[in-house]
Amino acid sequence: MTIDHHKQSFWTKYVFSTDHKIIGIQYGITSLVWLLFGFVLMMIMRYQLAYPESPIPFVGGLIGEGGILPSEMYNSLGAMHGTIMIFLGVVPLAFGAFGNYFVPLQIGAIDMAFPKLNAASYWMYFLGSVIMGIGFFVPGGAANSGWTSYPPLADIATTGQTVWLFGMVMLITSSLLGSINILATVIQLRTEGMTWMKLPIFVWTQFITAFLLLLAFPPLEAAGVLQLMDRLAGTSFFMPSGLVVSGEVLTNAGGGSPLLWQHLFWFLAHPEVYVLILPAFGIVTEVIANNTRKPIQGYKSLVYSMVFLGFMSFVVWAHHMYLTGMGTSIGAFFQTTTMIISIPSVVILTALLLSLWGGSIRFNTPMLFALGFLPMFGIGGLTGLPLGLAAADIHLHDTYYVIGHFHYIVAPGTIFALFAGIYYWFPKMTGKRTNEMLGKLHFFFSFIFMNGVFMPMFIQGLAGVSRRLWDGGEIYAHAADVLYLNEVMSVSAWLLGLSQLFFIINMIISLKGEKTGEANPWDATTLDWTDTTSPPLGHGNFEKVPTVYCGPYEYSVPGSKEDFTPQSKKG
Amino acid sequence: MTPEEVKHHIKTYVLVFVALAFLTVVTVAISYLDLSVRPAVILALIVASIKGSLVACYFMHLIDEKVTIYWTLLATVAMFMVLMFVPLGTMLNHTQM
Amino acid sequence: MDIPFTVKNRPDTGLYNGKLGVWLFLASEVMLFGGLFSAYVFLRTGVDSWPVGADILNVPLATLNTMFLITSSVTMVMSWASLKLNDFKKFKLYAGLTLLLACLFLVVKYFEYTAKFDHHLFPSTNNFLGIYFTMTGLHVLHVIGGIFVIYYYWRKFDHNHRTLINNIFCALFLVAIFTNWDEGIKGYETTNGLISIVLLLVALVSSRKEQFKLKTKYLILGTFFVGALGIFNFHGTGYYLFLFLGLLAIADSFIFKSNTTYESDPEHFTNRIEIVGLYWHFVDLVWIFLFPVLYLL
Repeated sequence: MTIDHHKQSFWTKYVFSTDHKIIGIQYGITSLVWLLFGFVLMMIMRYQLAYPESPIPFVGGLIGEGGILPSEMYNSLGAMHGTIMIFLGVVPLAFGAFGNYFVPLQIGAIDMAFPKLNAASYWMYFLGSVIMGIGFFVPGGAANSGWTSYPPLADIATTGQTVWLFGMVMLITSSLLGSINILATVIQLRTEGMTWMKLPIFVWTQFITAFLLLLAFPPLEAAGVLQLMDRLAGTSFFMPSGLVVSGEVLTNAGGGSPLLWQHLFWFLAHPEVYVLILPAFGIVTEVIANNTRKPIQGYKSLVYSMVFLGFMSFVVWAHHMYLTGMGTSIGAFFQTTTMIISIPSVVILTALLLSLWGGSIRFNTPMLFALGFLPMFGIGGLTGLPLGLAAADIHLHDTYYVIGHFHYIVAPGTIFALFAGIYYWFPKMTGKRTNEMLGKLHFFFSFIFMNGVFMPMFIQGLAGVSRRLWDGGEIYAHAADVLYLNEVMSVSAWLLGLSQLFFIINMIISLKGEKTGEANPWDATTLDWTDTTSPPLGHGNFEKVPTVYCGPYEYSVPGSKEDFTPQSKKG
Repeated sequence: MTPEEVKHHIKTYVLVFVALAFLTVVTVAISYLDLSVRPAVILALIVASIKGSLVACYFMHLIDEKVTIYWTLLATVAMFMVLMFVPLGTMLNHTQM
Repeated sequence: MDIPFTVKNRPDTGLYNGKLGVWLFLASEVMLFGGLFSAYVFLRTGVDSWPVGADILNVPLATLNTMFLITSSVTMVMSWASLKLNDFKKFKLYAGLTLLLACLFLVVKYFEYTAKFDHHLFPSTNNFLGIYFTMTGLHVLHVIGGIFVIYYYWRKFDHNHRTLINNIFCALFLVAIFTNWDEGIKGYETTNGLISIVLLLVALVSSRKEQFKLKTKYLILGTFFVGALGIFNFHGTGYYLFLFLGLLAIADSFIFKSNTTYESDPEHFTNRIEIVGLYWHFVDLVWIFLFPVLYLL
């Protein structure tokens, strides 16, 4: 494949580009828009939860009669919030955007291994996301069976579910193309001297993430095809015999198993959790190493932990299914594996915490977000342990406790890491600097309100409030004591929304600002900073393809003149 | 690859083809024996696995590859086994109780 | 700057990019079919009684199909070996055979499916048929995809190729007309039928003359258009097949460009054929497992 330098029109340069950097930015912008959209859905839902059945301000007119959120639509918003945040927001941003842009740069490749496939992957994602959006306009509204789409409910749900399945098939295909590309790039296109143990942790995390996507997504595609058959061809893969719906026995052949869907779904969806968190580890590691000005603690143990984490993530999925009536011995198996998988997570978190030890830390915006990530991920991880044990899960399953747990991982966890990444690499992508003041305001307000949203969920969940209540638990006596928290969480959510204005304004101001053109403003060691201009050259990335001599985190090497030694520096 | 090697390969391909055709006949013949389910399943899967590995090793030249492919496929096979058998474990346990 | 290792192997991995990419793709395909096999096993063990495949499905036809696929696999690998020996003619022969066998597979599959539908056996009848149609259907999609890819590398935009496509297309249309003669060629649409037959004959004759070759594709278009007018009167699979093949022939004549990789870089072309082969052998491999699992057990 030849990359030529002829002049390109706007369309070929920015829209149908095969340059990994442009595709990365396309991924980034699309996924940020979806993240915002998914967040807006949640802010609407939080109004209903805080003030049940009162008209919703601002957007009430779009919703229907009197601006009150109907319960069916509440279900739709919930299902779509989950789907959008995970499949259209966080994964494309963490894997599609950051992976595309920085993996080739960090390994010294001039592009991805398959540039055309890369563009196809983005456009598949775009198409899939449009199909997901179309769901809102079909009769009966968007998919409303939860982001997990459990049958038999999903099998008999409104048309929105079919649209959801088609959208999902597109998204799966997109991420398959993307993961093949990342894997082939890392395996084949590492530059001279870039051995496996000299790869930056960020590349390792993307590599393992790609493996998870490659092997975990296809079973969900298979499950999606089966559910489509159930919905369109009248098969009964997930429909047990003699199912009664609205007082009538269904006439389909029966003999299917709803558990089958759950197995195939969680076979994807548990590794998906690590797809969400691994790139975050990668970004945080880069930022922490850079801003503590010292080597990362235990490079090898980090790498091995992450590889182990990747493998183990395939054998823990049924801990989402303790209450489905599985046998007890298989439950024991999954409890054991679930406890085992917490070990590498703890190793990683410990290594990152120890990396702070004795460093002279620079508290800039990316570092603040990275530091915020550590305790937030810690809370999310530790609160997961009771859910991994069947006995405790009986009480906690399907309550707000679960919601609190995984949001701590994904929202103040992964999304903080992604913000850290955006602030960290913004100078590389644009050649401009972000505003530190706005960035810090963004961090502190986000940090406070994130906790304001999610911490009360643990309290509500422990009190037994179910996660799926349209009225926030108003009619349940056991929820009465913790009902006031609904308002706390909702107000925090809206304020969290407002805090994001700092980010948006910051981006606009910084993009309009002047180019400083500094290639390496953070004094970093990896190839993306040391061997490219800011922004990197349109074609081919490097003036001269670098050769690697050093490890990725050679900060403050004793006897060295500067406090960082670039990977491409000889000797 | 030299032309001599290719010609040698072609001979192998023809042999593999003959073996595949023969095994197809065998697997159909076994199905007419009216074995009970368990031995029938085991036999059919053994024959299919032999055929599958012949195709993979010779037609897909797996036998000549280096470790990168082996590691990738090993991981895939491991996950495939998990996918095939772990849900089944749930089910068997479930029906026993 | 060129992306490294597109054609040559990277020394430490022993692979060129495309080959690794296809192997990774196949790994995901293993998991895709793995999900379906897992569903099959899960559903089967979950119920008390499960039909025996051989009682419902046609084992001799499926055995024939197995033979078709195995043979197509060996012709595929031979076509790659021919390229390694720099024998492009033999490559065309073997790849053409592969295409033919793949199409025969589809024809047999078509008869199998319609026989099931005629006996009122649908995916919704029971879960065995459901999983049978889903798995074989997905496999058929893979076969069709393979046919397109192999065809893309096999086709050469020369006069012979065009004549061949044109003749196949015309012959199929004639078959379509005659099989629908009773319901189709009566009244108004007789004119349509006659016009298209005349156009077809002109196309057939003209395609034999080198100087008319440019016009052939417009004749194909014209024939298709006149034939397509019959949509309100003609019915039946033969006619729909004609419409489908007509669209393919038009796409082939007007849209797709000829692949010139062989002329510019034979080694690259050989690599492409190798990875197409990898995919095709995988399709064969899936069938090797589908056949006993669905038909024999």
